[in-house]
Amino acid sequence: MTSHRYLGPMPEPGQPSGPPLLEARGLGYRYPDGQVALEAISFCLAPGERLGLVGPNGAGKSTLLLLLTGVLTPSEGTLFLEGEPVTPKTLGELRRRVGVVFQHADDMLFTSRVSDDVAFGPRHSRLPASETEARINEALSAVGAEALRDRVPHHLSGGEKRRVALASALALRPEALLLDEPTSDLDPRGRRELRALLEELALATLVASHDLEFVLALCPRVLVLNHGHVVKSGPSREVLGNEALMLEHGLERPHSLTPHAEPHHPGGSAHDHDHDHETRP
Amino acid sequence: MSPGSPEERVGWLGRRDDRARLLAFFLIALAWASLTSVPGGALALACALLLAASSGLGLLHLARRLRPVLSLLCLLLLLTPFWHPPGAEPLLASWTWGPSDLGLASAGLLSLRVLALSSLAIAALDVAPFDQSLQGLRGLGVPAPLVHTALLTQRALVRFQEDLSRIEAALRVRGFRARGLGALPTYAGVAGGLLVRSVGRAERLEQAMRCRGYEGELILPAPPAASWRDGALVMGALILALAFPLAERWPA
Repeated sequence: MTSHRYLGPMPEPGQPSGPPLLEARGLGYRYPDGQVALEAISFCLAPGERLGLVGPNGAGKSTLLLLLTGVLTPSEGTLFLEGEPVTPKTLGELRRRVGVVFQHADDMLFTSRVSDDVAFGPRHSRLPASETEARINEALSAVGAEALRDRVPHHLSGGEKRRVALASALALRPEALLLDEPTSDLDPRGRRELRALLEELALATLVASHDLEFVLALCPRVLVLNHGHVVKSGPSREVLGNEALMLEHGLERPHSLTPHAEPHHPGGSAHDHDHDHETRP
Repeated sequence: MSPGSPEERVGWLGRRDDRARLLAFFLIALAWASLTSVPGGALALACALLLAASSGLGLLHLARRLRPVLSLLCLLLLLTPFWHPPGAEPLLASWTWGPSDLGLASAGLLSLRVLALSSLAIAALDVAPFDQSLQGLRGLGVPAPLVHTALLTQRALVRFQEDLSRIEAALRVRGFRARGLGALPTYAGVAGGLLVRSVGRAERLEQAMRCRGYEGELILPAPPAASWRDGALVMGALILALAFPLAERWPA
């Protein structure tokens, strides 16, 4: 990965220096048929913080991400952006400051050229052509995808598509990134590179994933979501290491946190060893 | 991509400004569509083939792309000679309802015009990515909603095609063979499934666009400034467009 402007010092986990970048207070959402998707969701995402969001299928993770980006309007509760409530008038600012990468990268890539997809956000923010060009270069360089610039998106591999989708979110220079199942179509190397990239980014990051090893390795804090409720939040090792809690909510304790896993890695903590033997570059 | 359109610009014509390329195409197409003589049609077809050959597409590509047009023409050629406009004489005196002289001439003219226009369209449109041709149309003043709808439809069709290929493969590996009417319920299920998937895809695509600032209007990059070569292309096309009808009327 190439260094870029997003690099910077990470704040200490749990020690936010100002108001939370994003704050959900009692957020709820009902589907059009009246079914409750989310209820009374409250949490904060501090600037620079990396927060995991885990839960079984149908828990409401993707719906929550759509609420946090203003794509869906909450049925109840309020979303705050740096202490200010998000209203229809401030949706544009929310979307400029909070980037999202969808579960299926294909949903974000629809033009005939990678550079056009990356330019989509800057163009729709009405940035001048020269600035748009700079943003394309910067974002592609940030994800190490400069060589893909003129390629056709639907000819790329899953990992390449994921990089380009990430670049198209980064092109808006967001302060927070919301990632929906970021490792779903990545091979071990792709996961390792994505993790390294996300660790480099001085951005608040919310990672919704089933890949608990990835969440554990990347996020110091985690929320467990089930049936539309936050059932537990806290330090990742503590929450994800609670086997009873994990099983109760359709999850499994990460392999690296099982008691027998640690003796195999006497030189480092389980936190540093994913099941696919990821290593930090 | 539309079927047949390249991922990159091809040849000298592909490198021209999209607006100039499309304007030149429209001017010539308008003139050729109104040709009234078989020699005029033949000359137009020769010009179109020359243009296609020189554009860098290759005659093999042209032949492949013309195949569906030729199939349609075969059908027309079977029927049109039997047309008897006023003043037409049967070619065979003993067979009044047989082919007529004017019917045969019409069939020839129709074939030449269709082939010339199709070859011209292939030469003009297949030398650049389809979406860039659409952006060229926007530059020529075609209303934005039409262009945007076409751009999104193009992408949707690509995804539709990808889905269809995956479903076909999934059917084949489970022993499905398209034989007889028994396959119809399967095809109906596939069509329904594809439509449902497309709706879901379209929703997610719109959500992804909204997250990046889309508010109902696609903003396309401004076209680059046209060069003197682009102007020369349009002038050349205008001269060619005027020359054909004038040449047809010259002896009169």
